[in-house]
Amino acid sequence: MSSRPTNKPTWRSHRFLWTLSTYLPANSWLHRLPAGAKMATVFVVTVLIALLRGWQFGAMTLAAVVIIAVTAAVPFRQLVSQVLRTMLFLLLLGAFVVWRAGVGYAVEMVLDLTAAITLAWLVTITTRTDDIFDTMQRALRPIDRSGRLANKVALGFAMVLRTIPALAEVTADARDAAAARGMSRDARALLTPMAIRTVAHAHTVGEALAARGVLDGPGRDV
Amino acid sequence: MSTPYTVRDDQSENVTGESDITEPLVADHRSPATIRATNFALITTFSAFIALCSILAAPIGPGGVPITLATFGVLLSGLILGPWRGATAAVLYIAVGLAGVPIFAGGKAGIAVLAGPSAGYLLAYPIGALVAGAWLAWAVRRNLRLRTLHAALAAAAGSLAIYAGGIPVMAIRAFDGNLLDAWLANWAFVPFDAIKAAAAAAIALAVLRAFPLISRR
Repeated sequence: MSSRPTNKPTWRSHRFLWTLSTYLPANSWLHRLPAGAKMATVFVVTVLIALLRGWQFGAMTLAAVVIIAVTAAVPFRQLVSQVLRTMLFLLLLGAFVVWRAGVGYAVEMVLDLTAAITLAWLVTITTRTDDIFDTMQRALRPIDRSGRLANKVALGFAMVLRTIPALAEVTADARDAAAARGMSRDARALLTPMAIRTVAHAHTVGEALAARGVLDGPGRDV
Repeated sequence: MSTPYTVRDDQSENVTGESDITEPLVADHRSPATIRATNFALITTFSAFIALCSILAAPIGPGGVPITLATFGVLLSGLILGPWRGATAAVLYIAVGLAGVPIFAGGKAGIAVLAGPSAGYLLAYPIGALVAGAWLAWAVRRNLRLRTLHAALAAAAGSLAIYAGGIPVMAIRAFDGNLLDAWLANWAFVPFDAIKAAAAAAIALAVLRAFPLISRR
Protein backbone atom coordinates (compact mmCIF):
# COMPACT_ATOMS: atom_id res chain seq x y z
CA MET A 1 0.00 0.00 0.00
CA SER A 2 1.19 3.53 -0.71
CA SER A 3 1.22 6.01 2.13
CA ARG A 4 -1.34 8.46 0.80
CA PRO A 5 -4.99 7.48 0.53
CA THR A 6 -5.92 6.74 -3.04
CA ASN A 7 -9.08 6.35 -5.02
CA LYS A 8 -7.31 5.26 -8.15
CA PRO A 9 -9.44 3.04 -10.32
CA THR A 10 -7.62 -0.27 -10.43
CA TRP A 11 -8.74 -3.45 -12.09
CA ARG A 12 -10.10 -4.60 -8.73
CA SER A 13 -12.75 -1.90 -8.77
CA HIS A 14 -14.06 -3.44 -11.96
CA ARG A 15 -14.42 -6.90 -10.56
CA PHE A 16 -17.95 -7.32 -11.91
CA LEU A 17 -16.44 -7.37 -15.38
CA TRP A 18 -14.63 -10.57 -14.57
CA THR A 19 -17.95 -12.35 -14.98
CA LEU A 20 -16.75 -12.41 -18.57
CA SER A 21 -14.01 -14.84 -17.57
CA THR A 22 -14.12 -18.58 -18.18
CA TYR A 23 -13.40 -19.50 -14.53
CA LEU A 24 -15.66 -22.22 -13.07
CA PRO A 25 -15.75 -21.79 -9.28
CA ALA A 26 -15.33 -24.91 -7.12
CA ASN A 27 -13.10 -26.06 -4.28
CA SER A 28 -10.83 -28.90 -5.34
CA TRP A 29 -7.11 -29.62 -5.01
CA LEU A 30 -6.60 -28.27 -8.54
CA HIS A 31 -8.46 -25.04 -7.69
CA ARG A 32 -6.27 -24.56 -4.60
CA LEU A 33 -2.95 -25.11 -6.41
CA PRO A 34 -1.01 -21.83 -7.01
CA ALA A 35 -1.60 -20.32 -10.44
CA GLY A 36 2.12 -20.07 -11.22
CA ALA A 37 2.66 -23.80 -10.57
CA LYS A 38 -0.24 -24.75 -12.83
CA MET A 39 0.92 -22.51 -15.65
CA ALA A 40 4.49 -23.83 -15.37
CA THR A 41 3.18 -27.41 -15.56
CA VAL A 42 1.24 -26.65 -18.72
CA PHE A 43 4.35 -25.09 -20.24
CA VAL A 44 6.55 -28.12 -19.41
CA VAL A 45 3.97 -30.67 -20.61
CA THR A 46 3.34 -28.75 -23.86
CA VAL A 47 7.06 -28.69 -24.68
CA LEU A 48 7.56 -32.37 -23.70
CA ILE A 49 4.61 -33.47 -25.81
CA ALA A 50 6.02 -31.67 -28.83
CA LEU A 51 9.45 -33.28 -28.36
CA LEU A 52 8.43 -36.89 -27.65
CA ARG A 53 7.59 -39.03 -30.66
CA GLY A 54 4.76 -41.55 -30.97
CA TRP A 55 1.04 -41.44 -30.36
CA GLN A 56 1.32 -43.38 -27.08
CA PHE A 57 2.66 -40.38 -25.18
CA GLY A 58 -0.18 -38.13 -26.33
CA ALA A 59 -2.76 -40.81 -25.47
CA MET A 60 -1.26 -41.29 -21.99
CA THR A 61 -1.20 -37.54 -21.33
CA LEU A 62 -4.81 -37.25 -22.48
CA ALA A 63 -5.79 -40.07 -20.09
CA ALA A 64 -3.92 -38.31 -17.26
CA VAL A 65 -5.68 -35.03 -18.08
CA VAL A 66 -9.08 -36.75 -17.92
CA ILE A 67 -8.20 -38.27 -14.52
CA ILE A 68 -7.06 -34.87 -13.23
CA ALA A 69 -10.28 -33.27 -14.47
CA VAL A 70 -12.49 -35.91 -12.84
CA THR A 71 -10.71 -35.67 -9.47
CA ALA A 72 -10.81 -31.86 -9.65
CA ALA A 73 -14.62 -31.71 -9.73
CA VAL A 74 -14.78 -30.42 -13.32
CA PRO A 75 -18.28 -31.17 -14.65
CA PHE A 76 -17.91 -34.28 -16.81
CA ARG A 77 -20.27 -32.99 -19.47
CA GLN A 78 -18.16 -29.85 -19.94
CA LEU A 79 -14.98 -31.92 -20.12
CA VAL A 80 -16.41 -34.17 -22.84
CA SER A 81 -17.68 -31.22 -24.80
CA GLN A 82 -14.29 -29.45 -24.55
CA VAL A 83 -12.35 -32.56 -25.69
CA LEU A 84 -14.75 -33.23 -28.56
CA ARG A 85 -14.73 -29.62 -29.71
CA THR A 86 -10.93 -29.55 -29.67
CA MET A 87 -10.70 -32.81 -31.61
CA LEU A 88 -13.26 -31.67 -34.18
CA PHE A 89 -11.34 -28.44 -34.66
CA LEU A 90 -8.09 -30.40 -35.09
CA LEU A 91 -9.63 -32.94 -37.49
CA LEU A 92 -10.05 -30.17 -40.08
CA LEU A 93 -6.30 -29.60 -39.86
CA GLY A 94 -5.79 -33.37 -39.56
CA ALA A 95 -7.28 -33.98 -43.01
CA PHE A 96 -4.57 -31.83 -44.53
CA VAL A 97 -1.89 -33.48 -42.35
CA VAL A 98 -2.99 -36.98 -43.46
CA TRP A 99 -2.44 -35.91 -47.05
CA ARG A 100 1.00 -34.39 -46.40
CA ALA A 101 2.49 -36.47 -43.55
CA GLY A 102 0.50 -39.71 -43.32
CA VAL A 103 -2.14 -41.17 -41.01
CA GLY A 104 0.28 -42.09 -38.20
CA TYR A 105 1.51 -38.55 -37.72
CA ALA A 106 -2.01 -37.12 -38.00
CA VAL A 107 -3.23 -39.37 -35.17
CA GLU A 108 -0.25 -38.35 -33.03
CA MET A 109 -0.82 -34.67 -33.78
CA VAL A 110 -4.53 -34.79 -32.87
CA LEU A 111 -3.87 -36.71 -29.61
CA ASP A 112 -0.89 -34.52 -28.59
CA LEU A 113 -2.63 -31.24 -29.22
CA THR A 114 -5.93 -32.35 -27.67
CA ALA A 115 -4.06 -33.37 -24.51
CA ALA A 116 -2.08 -30.12 -24.33
CA ILE A 117 -5.05 -27.87 -25.10
CA THR A 118 -7.32 -29.68 -22.62
CA LEU A 119 -4.69 -29.43 -19.88
CA ALA A 120 -4.29 -25.70 -20.47
CA TRP A 121 -8.10 -25.34 -20.53
CA LEU A 122 -8.22 -27.05 -17.12
CA VAL A 123 -5.87 -24.39 -15.73
CA THR A 124 -8.02 -21.59 -17.13
CA ILE A 125 -11.29 -22.91 -15.70
CA THR A 126 -9.85 -23.78 -12.26
CA THR A 127 -7.86 -20.56 -11.74
CA ARG A 128 -9.49 -17.21 -11.02
CA THR A 129 -8.63 -14.62 -13.66
CA ASP A 130 -7.49 -12.39 -10.77
CA ASP A 131 -4.90 -14.98 -9.73
CA ILE A 132 -3.53 -15.47 -13.23
CA PHE A 133 -3.29 -11.73 -13.53
CA ASP A 134 -1.51 -11.42 -10.16
CA THR A 135 0.97 -14.04 -11.36
CA MET A 136 1.60 -12.01 -14.52
CA GLN A 137 2.19 -8.90 -12.41
CA ARG A 138 4.60 -10.78 -10.17
CA ALA A 139 6.50 -11.91 -13.26
CA LEU A 140 7.00 -8.21 -14.06
CA ARG A 141 8.77 -7.52 -10.72
CA PRO A 142 12.35 -8.01 -11.92
CA ILE A 143 11.99 -5.27 -14.56
CA ASP A 144 9.67 -3.12 -12.44
CA ARG A 145 11.18 -2.33 -9.03
CA SER A 146 9.06 0.76 -8.35
CA GLY A 147 5.77 -0.85 -9.31
CA ARG A 148 4.87 1.92 -11.75
CA LEU A 149 4.63 -0.49 -14.66
CA ALA A 150 2.51 -2.90 -12.61
CA ASN A 151 0.13 -0.05 -11.78
CA LYS A 152 -0.15 0.97 -15.40
CA VAL A 153 -0.75 -2.63 -16.48
CA ALA A 154 -3.45 -3.03 -13.82
CA LEU A 155 -5.23 0.11 -14.93
CA GLY A 156 -4.79 -0.90 -18.58
CA PHE A 157 -6.37 -4.27 -17.88
CA ALA A 158 -9.42 -2.67 -16.27
CA MET A 159 -9.72 -0.15 -19.08
CA VAL A 160 -9.62 -2.82 -21.78
CA LEU A 161 -12.45 -4.68 -20.04
CA ARG A 162 -14.48 -1.50 -19.66
CA THR A 163 -13.79 -0.37 -23.22
CA ILE A 164 -14.96 -3.54 -24.99
CA PRO A 165 -18.67 -2.90 -24.18
CA ALA A 166 -18.18 0.83 -24.88
CA LEU A 167 -16.78 0.05 -28.34
CA ALA A 168 -19.61 -2.40 -28.97
CA GLU A 169 -21.95 0.58 -28.52
CA VAL A 170 -19.78 2.67 -30.83
CA THR A 171 -20.07 -0.10 -33.42
CA ALA A 172 -23.84 -0.24 -33.06
CA ASP A 173 -24.04 3.56 -33.52
CA ALA A 174 -21.83 3.43 -36.60
CA ARG A 175 -23.96 0.62 -38.02
CA ASP A 176 -27.16 2.61 -37.44
CA ALA A 177 -25.59 5.65 -39.08
CA ALA A 178 -24.55 3.59 -42.11
CA ALA A 179 -28.02 2.04 -42.35
CA ALA A 180 -29.64 5.50 -42.15
CA ARG A 181 -27.62 6.49 -45.21
CA GLY A 182 -28.68 3.26 -46.92
CA MET A 183 -25.12 1.93 -46.84
CA SER A 184 -25.47 -0.98 -44.45
CA ARG A 185 -23.85 -3.32 -46.98
CA ASP A 186 -20.78 -1.16 -47.39
CA ALA A 187 -18.00 -2.35 -45.04
CA ARG A 188 -16.06 0.91 -45.35
CA ALA A 189 -19.10 3.00 -44.43
CA LEU A 190 -19.20 0.99 -41.20
CA LEU A 191 -15.51 0.50 -40.39
CA THR A 192 -14.23 4.03 -41.07
CA PRO A 193 -16.65 5.81 -38.69
CA MET A 194 -16.10 2.98 -36.22
CA ALA A 195 -12.33 3.55 -36.21
CA ILE A 196 -12.72 7.34 -36.04
CA ARG A 197 -15.18 7.10 -33.15
CA THR A 198 -12.80 4.68 -31.42
CA VAL A 199 -9.97 7.22 -31.58
CA ALA A 200 -12.32 9.99 -30.43
CA HIS A 201 -13.34 7.81 -27.47
CA ALA A 202 -9.67 7.30 -26.57
CA HIS A 203 -9.07 11.07 -26.63
CA THR A 204 -12.01 11.68 -24.28
CA VAL A 205 -10.77 8.99 -21.91
CA GLY A 206 -7.22 10.38 -22.09
CA GLU A 207 -8.42 13.85 -21.08
CA ALA A 208 -10.42 12.36 -18.21
CA LEU A 209 -7.35 10.42 -17.01
CA ALA A 210 -5.17 13.53 -17.21
CA ALA A 211 -7.74 15.60 -15.32
CA ARG A 212 -7.68 13.07 -12.49
CA GLY A 213 -3.89 12.71 -12.50
CA VAL A 214 -4.33 8.96 -12.53
CA LEU A 215 -1.05 8.16 -14.25
CA ASP A 216 1.12 10.53 -12.24
CA GLY A 217 0.85 8.85 -8.85
CA PRO A 218 3.64 7.25 -6.82
CA GLY A 219 4.75 3.64 -7.16
CA ARG A 220 3.17 0.38 -6.15
CA ASP A 221 -0.28 0.31 -4.65
CA VAL A 222 -1.65 -2.91 -6.05
CA MET B 1 -13.24 41.62 -67.45
CA SER B 2 -12.46 40.54 -63.93
CA THR B 3 -14.36 37.99 -61.94
CA PRO B 4 -16.18 39.34 -58.89
CA TYR B 5 -14.68 36.63 -56.70
CA THR B 6 -11.23 35.14 -56.31
CA VAL B 7 -10.63 31.62 -57.49
CA ARG B 8 -9.05 29.62 -54.67
CA ASP B 9 -6.16 27.71 -56.11
CA ASP B 10 -5.30 26.03 -52.84
CA GLN B 11 -8.37 23.80 -53.08
CA SER B 12 -6.66 21.66 -55.67
CA GLU B 13 -3.98 20.86 -53.11
CA ASN B 14 -6.19 18.48 -51.22
CA VAL B 15 -7.57 16.48 -54.11
CA THR B 16 -5.23 13.57 -53.44
CA GLY B 17 -5.97 13.76 -49.74
CA GLU B 18 -2.33 13.14 -49.01
CA SER B 19 -0.85 16.51 -48.21
CA ASP B 20 -2.47 16.97 -44.81
CA ILE B 21 -1.29 13.97 -42.83
CA THR B 22 2.31 14.79 -41.93
CA GLU B 23 2.54 18.37 -40.88
CA PRO B 24 -0.53 19.25 -38.86
CA LEU B 25 -1.46 22.90 -39.25
CA VAL B 26 -3.29 22.67 -35.95
CA ALA B 27 -1.28 23.85 -32.97
CA ASP B 28 -0.86 21.27 -30.25
CA HIS B 29 -1.97 22.93 -27.01
CA ARG B 30 -2.01 19.79 -24.91
CA SER B 31 0.10 19.54 -21.78
CA PRO B 32 2.68 16.73 -21.52
CA ALA B 33 0.49 15.05 -18.90
CA THR B 34 -2.50 15.08 -21.25
CA ILE B 35 -0.40 13.67 -24.08
CA ARG B 36 0.84 10.88 -21.81
CA ALA B 37 -2.67 10.07 -20.61
CA THR B 38 -4.01 10.17 -24.17
CA ASN B 39 -1.29 7.77 -25.31
CA PHE B 40 -2.26 5.42 -22.51
CA ALA B 41 -5.95 5.66 -23.42
CA LEU B 42 -5.18 5.09 -27.11
CA ILE B 43 -3.25 1.90 -26.26
CA THR B 44 -5.99 0.45 -24.04
CA THR B 45 -8.74 1.48 -26.45
CA PHE B 46 -7.02 -0.20 -29.38
CA SER B 47 -6.47 -3.32 -27.27
CA ALA B 48 -10.21 -3.40 -26.76
CA PHE B 49 -10.70 -2.72 -30.48
CA ILE B 50 -8.58 -5.76 -31.37
CA ALA B 51 -10.60 -7.81 -28.87
CA LEU B 52 -13.85 -6.62 -30.42
CA CYS B 53 -12.61 -7.42 -33.94
CA SER B 54 -11.65 -10.87 -32.72
CA ILE B 55 -15.09 -11.52 -31.21
CA LEU B 56 -17.15 -9.91 -34.00
CA ALA B 57 -16.53 -12.50 -36.72
CA ALA B 58 -15.17 -15.87 -35.73
CA PRO B 59 -16.04 -18.68 -38.09
CA ILE B 60 -13.62 -21.61 -38.29
CA GLY B 61 -11.39 -21.19 -41.31
CA PRO B 62 -9.53 -23.72 -43.38
CA GLY B 63 -6.83 -25.69 -41.59
CA GLY B 64 -8.60 -25.39 -38.26
CA VAL B 65 -7.23 -21.90 -37.60
CA PRO B 66 -10.13 -19.48 -37.32
CA ILE B 67 -10.47 -16.45 -39.60
CA THR B 68 -11.36 -13.30 -37.70
CA LEU B 69 -10.96 -9.57 -38.05
CA ALA B 70 -8.29 -9.66 -35.32
CA THR B 71 -5.40 -9.09 -37.73
CA PHE B 72 -7.36 -6.15 -39.17
CA GLY B 73 -7.45 -4.65 -35.67
CA VAL B 74 -3.76 -5.35 -35.14
CA LEU B 75 -2.69 -3.76 -38.44
CA LEU B 76 -4.96 -0.78 -37.82
CA SER B 77 -3.41 -0.28 -34.36
CA GLY B 78 0.08 -0.28 -35.85
CA LEU B 79 -0.81 2.03 -38.74
CA ILE B 80 -2.71 4.55 -36.62
CA LEU B 81 -0.73 4.51 -33.37
CA GLY B 82 2.71 3.91 -34.87
CA PRO B 83 5.09 1.05 -34.07
CA TRP B 84 5.51 1.28 -30.30
CA ARG B 85 2.04 2.18 -29.13
CA GLY B 86 0.57 -0.24 -31.70
CA ALA B 87 2.72 -3.13 -30.51
CA THR B 88 1.91 -2.32 -26.88
CA ALA B 89 -1.81 -2.46 -27.67
CA ALA B 90 -1.33 -5.93 -29.18
CA VAL B 91 0.69 -7.12 -26.16
CA LEU B 92 -2.02 -5.89 -23.79
CA TYR B 93 -4.69 -7.70 -25.86
CA ILE B 94 -2.73 -10.96 -25.61
CA ALA B 95 -2.18 -10.54 -21.85
CA VAL B 96 -5.88 -9.94 -21.14
CA GLY B 97 -6.81 -12.98 -23.23
CA LEU B 98 -4.20 -15.22 -21.60
CA ALA B 99 -5.53 -14.27 -18.16
CA GLY B 100 -8.83 -15.92 -19.08
CA VAL B 101 -11.09 -13.27 -20.63
CA PRO B 102 -12.65 -14.86 -23.75
CA ILE B 103 -11.40 -12.41 -26.37
CA PHE B 104 -9.38 -14.73 -28.60
CA ALA B 105 -10.69 -16.00 -31.93
CA GLY B 106 -13.85 -18.06 -31.49
CA GLY B 107 -14.42 -16.78 -27.94
CA LYS B 108 -11.47 -18.77 -26.62
CA ALA B 109 -9.42 -17.70 -23.64
CA GLY B 110 -6.45 -18.61 -21.54
CA ILE B 111 -3.16 -20.35 -22.09
CA ALA B 112 -4.86 -23.19 -24.02
CA VAL B 113 -4.40 -21.00 -27.10
CA LEU B 114 -0.63 -21.22 -26.64
CA ALA B 115 -0.83 -25.02 -26.79
CA GLY B 116 -2.71 -24.98 -30.11
CA PRO B 117 -1.37 -24.84 -33.68
CA SER B 118 -2.19 -21.14 -34.17
CA ALA B 119 -0.16 -19.86 -31.18
CA GLY B 120 2.55 -18.38 -33.42
CA TYR B 121 0.12 -16.13 -35.29
CA LEU B 122 -1.22 -14.74 -32.02
CA LEU B 123 2.21 -14.15 -30.51
CA ALA B 124 3.37 -12.40 -33.68
CA TYR B 125 0.58 -9.77 -33.51
CA PRO B 126 2.83 -7.24 -31.72
CA ILE B 127 5.52 -7.74 -34.35
CA GLY B 128 2.92 -7.25 -37.11
CA ALA B 129 1.75 -3.98 -35.56
CA LEU B 130 5.37 -2.91 -35.08
CA VAL B 131 6.35 -3.58 -38.70
CA ALA B 132 3.24 -1.99 -40.22
CA GLY B 133 3.51 1.02 -37.92
CA ALA B 134 7.23 1.50 -38.50
CA TRP B 135 6.81 1.47 -42.28
CA LEU B 136 3.98 4.02 -42.37
CA ALA B 137 5.63 6.23 -39.72
CA TRP B 138 8.81 6.26 -41.81
CA ALA B 139 6.89 7.18 -44.97
CA VAL B 140 5.02 9.95 -43.16
CA ARG B 141 8.16 11.33 -41.50
CA ARG B 142 10.01 11.46 -44.79
CA ASN B 143 6.89 13.01 -46.34
CA LEU B 144 7.09 10.47 -49.16
CA ARG B 145 4.65 10.67 -52.03
CA LEU B 146 2.20 7.86 -52.86
CA ARG B 147 1.17 7.61 -49.23
CA THR B 148 -1.75 5.30 -50.05
CA LEU B 149 0.68 2.87 -51.65
CA HIS B 150 2.97 3.05 -48.62
CA ALA B 151 0.06 2.38 -46.26
CA ALA B 152 -0.91 -0.69 -48.31
CA LEU B 153 2.69 -1.95 -48.38
CA ALA B 154 3.02 -1.34 -44.64
CA ALA B 155 -0.12 -3.39 -43.97
CA ALA B 156 1.16 -6.16 -46.26
CA ALA B 157 4.52 -6.19 -44.49
CA GLY B 158 2.74 -6.40 -41.14
CA SER B 159 0.71 -9.40 -42.40
CA LEU B 160 3.93 -11.08 -43.57
CA ALA B 161 5.49 -10.52 -40.13
CA ILE B 162 2.49 -12.30 -38.57
CA TYR B 163 2.96 -15.18 -41.02
CA ALA B 164 6.67 -15.31 -40.13
CA GLY B 165 5.65 -16.06 -36.55
CA GLY B 166 2.67 -18.27 -37.36
CA ILE B 167 4.03 -20.63 -40.03
CA PRO B 168 7.04 -22.03 -38.07
CA VAL B 169 4.91 -22.67 -34.96
CA MET B 170 2.20 -24.35 -37.04
CA ALA B 171 4.92 -26.46 -38.68
CA ILE B 172 6.25 -27.60 -35.30
CA ARG B 173 2.85 -28.18 -33.72
CA ALA B 174 1.00 -29.79 -36.63
CA PHE B 175 3.35 -30.74 -39.48
CA ASP B 176 6.27 -32.47 -37.79
CA GLY B 177 8.50 -29.48 -38.37
CA ASN B 178 7.84 -29.42 -42.12
CA LEU B 179 7.85 -25.73 -43.04
CA LEU B 180 6.78 -26.34 -46.64
CA ASP B 181 3.52 -28.01 -45.56
CA ALA B 182 2.74 -25.24 -43.08
CA TRP B 183 3.49 -22.70 -45.79
CA LEU B 184 1.05 -24.50 -48.12
CA ALA B 185 -1.65 -24.59 -45.43
CA ASN B 186 -1.12 -20.90 -44.79
CA TRP B 187 -2.23 -20.04 -48.34
CA ALA B 188 -5.81 -20.62 -47.24
CA PHE B 189 -5.64 -17.36 -45.26
CA VAL B 190 -3.90 -15.20 -47.84
CA PRO B 191 -7.01 -13.96 -49.73
CA PHE B 192 -8.77 -12.94 -46.51
CA ASP B 193 -5.63 -11.30 -45.14
CA ALA B 194 -5.15 -9.33 -48.36
CA ILE B 195 -8.65 -7.89 -47.98
CA LYS B 196 -8.08 -7.14 -44.30
CA ALA B 197 -4.73 -5.44 -45.00
CA ALA B 198 -6.23 -3.29 -47.78
CA ALA B 199 -9.11 -2.25 -45.52
CA ALA B 200 -6.74 -1.45 -42.67
CA ALA B 201 -4.58 0.75 -44.94
CA ALA B 202 -7.55 2.68 -46.35
CA ILE B 203 -9.18 3.21 -42.96
CA ALA B 204 -5.92 4.14 -41.22
CA LEU B 205 -5.34 6.93 -43.73
CA ALA B 206 -8.87 8.26 -43.13
CA VAL B 207 -8.31 8.23 -39.36
CA LEU B 208 -4.90 9.91 -39.63
CA ARG B 209 -6.51 12.63 -41.72
CA ALA B 210 -9.20 13.13 -39.07
CA PHE B 211 -6.69 13.19 -36.18
CA PRO B 212 -3.47 14.76 -37.50
CA LEU B 213 -2.05 15.16 -33.99
CA ILE B 214 -2.19 11.46 -33.24
CA SER B 215 1.34 10.85 -34.50
CA ARG B 216 2.70 13.36 -31.97
CA ARG B 217 3.95 11.68 -28.84
